[in-house]
Amino acid sequence: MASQVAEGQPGQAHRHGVRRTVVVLAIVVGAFFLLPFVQILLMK
Amino acid sequence: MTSGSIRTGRAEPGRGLGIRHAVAAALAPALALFAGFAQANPEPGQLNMTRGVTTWSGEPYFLNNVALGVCVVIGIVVFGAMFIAMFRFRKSRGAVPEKWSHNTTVEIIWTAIPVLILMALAWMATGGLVSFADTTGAQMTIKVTGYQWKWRYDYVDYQGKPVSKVGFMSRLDELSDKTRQLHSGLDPYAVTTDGYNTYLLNVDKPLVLPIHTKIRFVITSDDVIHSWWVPSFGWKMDAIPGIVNSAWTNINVPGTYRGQCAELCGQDHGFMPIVVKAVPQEDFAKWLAAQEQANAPAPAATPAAASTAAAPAGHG
Amino acid sequence: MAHEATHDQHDHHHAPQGFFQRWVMSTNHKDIGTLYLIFSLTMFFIGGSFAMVIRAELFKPGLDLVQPYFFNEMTTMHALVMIFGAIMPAFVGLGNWMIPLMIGAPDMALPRMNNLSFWILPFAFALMLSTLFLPGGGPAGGWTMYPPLSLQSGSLAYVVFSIHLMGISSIMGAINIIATILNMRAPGMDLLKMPVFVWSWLITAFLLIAVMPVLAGAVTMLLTDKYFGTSFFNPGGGGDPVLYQHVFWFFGHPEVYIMILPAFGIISEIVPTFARKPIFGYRAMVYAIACIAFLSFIVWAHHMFAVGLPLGADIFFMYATMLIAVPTGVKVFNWVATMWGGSMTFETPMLFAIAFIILFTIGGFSGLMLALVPADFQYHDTYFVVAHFHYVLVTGAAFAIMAATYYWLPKWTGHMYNEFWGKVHFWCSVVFVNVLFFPQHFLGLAGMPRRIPDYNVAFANFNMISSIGGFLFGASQLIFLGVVVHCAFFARKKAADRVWEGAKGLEWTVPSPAPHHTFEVPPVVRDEELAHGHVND
Repeated sequence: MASQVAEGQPGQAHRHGVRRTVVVLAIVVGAFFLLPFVQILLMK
Repeated sequence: MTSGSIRTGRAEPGRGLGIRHAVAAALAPALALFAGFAQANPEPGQLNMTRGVTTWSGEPYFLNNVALGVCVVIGIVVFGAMFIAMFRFRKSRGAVPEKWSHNTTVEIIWTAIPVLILMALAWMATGGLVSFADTTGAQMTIKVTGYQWKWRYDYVDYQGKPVSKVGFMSRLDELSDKTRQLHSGLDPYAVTTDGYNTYLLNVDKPLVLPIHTKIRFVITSDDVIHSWWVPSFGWKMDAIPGIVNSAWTNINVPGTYRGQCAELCGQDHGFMPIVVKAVPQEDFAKWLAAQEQANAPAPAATPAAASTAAAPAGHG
Repeated sequence: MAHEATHDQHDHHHAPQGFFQRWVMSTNHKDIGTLYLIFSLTMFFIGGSFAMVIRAELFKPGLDLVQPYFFNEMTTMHALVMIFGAIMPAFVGLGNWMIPLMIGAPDMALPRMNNLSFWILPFAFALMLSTLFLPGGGPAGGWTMYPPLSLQSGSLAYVVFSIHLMGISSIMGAINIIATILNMRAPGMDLLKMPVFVWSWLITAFLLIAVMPVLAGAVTMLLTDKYFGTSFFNPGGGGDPVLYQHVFWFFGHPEVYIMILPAFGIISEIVPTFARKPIFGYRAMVYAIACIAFLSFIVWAHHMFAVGLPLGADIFFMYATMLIAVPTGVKVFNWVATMWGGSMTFETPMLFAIAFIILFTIGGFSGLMLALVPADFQYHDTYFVVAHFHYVLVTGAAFAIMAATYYWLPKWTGHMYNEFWGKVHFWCSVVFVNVLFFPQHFLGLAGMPRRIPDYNVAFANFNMISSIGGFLFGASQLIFLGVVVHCAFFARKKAADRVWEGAKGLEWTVPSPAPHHTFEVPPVVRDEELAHGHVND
């Protein structure tokens, strides 16, 4: 499986870009998960 | 609180009425095509919304017709252009594809024209909305409470005087209830009242209301969310536990008006209809007095209780 | 050129031989895309069978087949399965297959996460569908799960957990797509040269990332309300049931655009191909999608006009909702303008695309009518709404998915599907879907509420017509299944690399069927080969 992944993998520069994108998006996901809870706390 | 709380008067009724009437006059011939006929209750084969029987119920009907007319016209233009294109620019007719893919002028035109149409529609809709939001000046208050799966009506006040202990449950009539059971073997077409089929649209005790009276409804629920809807009145309003919503109506024509719960509320959601019997004011006053009389033998309750006569105890 | 770059290599990179290794452990975007599409087709038929139960019960007045509670389970499950099981995975599958091919990438940016995103789904749906066979039954409070009603259901925990799983799957899929599009494009594939389908998926993925966590939060609160004594939505404890609706529709409205924006992208690929003319107003199309996506975040309360919103909120949400008609109109006009002056042929994908434009627009018209609040007081929660959203979701999203399937199936399988049976499928579908849904407008206008198992005899005639249309539309989809299976396994006619005469874009430069690995060396992008490469507007 590892070799299979390696075949289709992008180069090193791409990997940095991918990593940065994923980190930013993960933070966005976390923020939006908390949004309804925050909204409810603010409303009460 | 995001919503709920009883609406207090903040409306300027009548704004926008002029333009709406002008448009109505202009569109009248076009509307006649699909305007249908004003009905009190659903009819087999009915194609359009009811005009309704209240002072306000013409608003949704009018907006529905205007919006439908606008959509039909736009549809004819757009689909017409499409079908012309499909006919003229076929490869089998030897059409040679052109190269252009941009035209600023037409793009501006077909962005601007919809904006103008939408502004006109928005103006008309806002007028109807503002007049609906104005529940001030009501001569009567009815409290509506939704239950799984029946309605409770309490008469709170009438002509400025509190009503003493008039309130009752209203649920699906017995014949409909028997007929609607799975594999009942009974014929839904046999459930009629006054020559009109009332299968699932009849109750044991209808809500009796006077005509030519501005009636304020306060609507809430005791368990899950329901929605109180009589199409002839032109609106529905959710009955939500913990929240009191308000709405109003002013019926013009005596008659019996039927509706149904419009918010999924559990297994018997389809079986909690609403029936309103609108009667002349004199008849209503007599009816109300009789009801108060009938409930009088228990005068122990404090007068204050009358205004919040929910008291569902004992009404399983 | 891409063709030469891949040709000498693909022979040496076959798919793994073992079935388990190839399909269960796959990290290949094409295999995972296929898995998504098969899953989606399966769910389409499961959800469709629920719809058949609904239409059979509504065939005539009187309860003849099922108990009301079971009917409610059917309406709820039909929606959940079709939305989360059929439409969304189909678009993810199409994105998986086509996005790397369209932007010249060797694979998705995160191939192992791609595998996980898919394999969560069968478990999530097994969990959700299992509730139908458990004592107490499945969820029956509608797919919107409004409390307090949804809190009465014994299967809430199952549904919440499976929605969490689907949400995780969607979020990972969306992250993968964004990471792929932003980082893996071949040199020369500028953002504004990308196919509209790729653009539509990029924007859709951002919507998913923003709203799936909100849904997860909302259903988590339902769960704690039911089992852990909290009172987020319980009025008895100071909570507010309407607040759930605000949170839910903050998810729910972008969600309905998640189900239509990739469809816009698909149609924007197909129409230029068969009109043999570049898409009209490429940039306007992209900006319109972005504009619709933005507006989707500020219109949620138009699903709640009957809850008793303050007047100001009613007005704001009405205006914002009506505004959506402008970018949507621009898209429709641009498709028509793309056809104008073209040289059209009408193969099955084009037929579905044209039906999409007309019927989706009809759904848009009823949407505009629904936006007018006073009229919505009448329409809300009636069959008029049911007709509206089936026009945009069945003749919109589902038709676009079928169009895309016919369009790219030869590229996937290497064989042409049977054009005759494709057209039979199209004409049956387009006729019966209108027999099915058009009368529902009249039912709603006459006053029939949605989600009821039985009705007054005044509604009998149109319900019977609708049910007949429903059965025939359902049966027509078996033709679709037949055409796809035939094309995948039995078709003899080889497909060319450039399957359609007017097709442009990198996906048509690779052989048919697309080899297991493509673009391992980034292709040299030449603008005239792209659908919009040389376009400056």
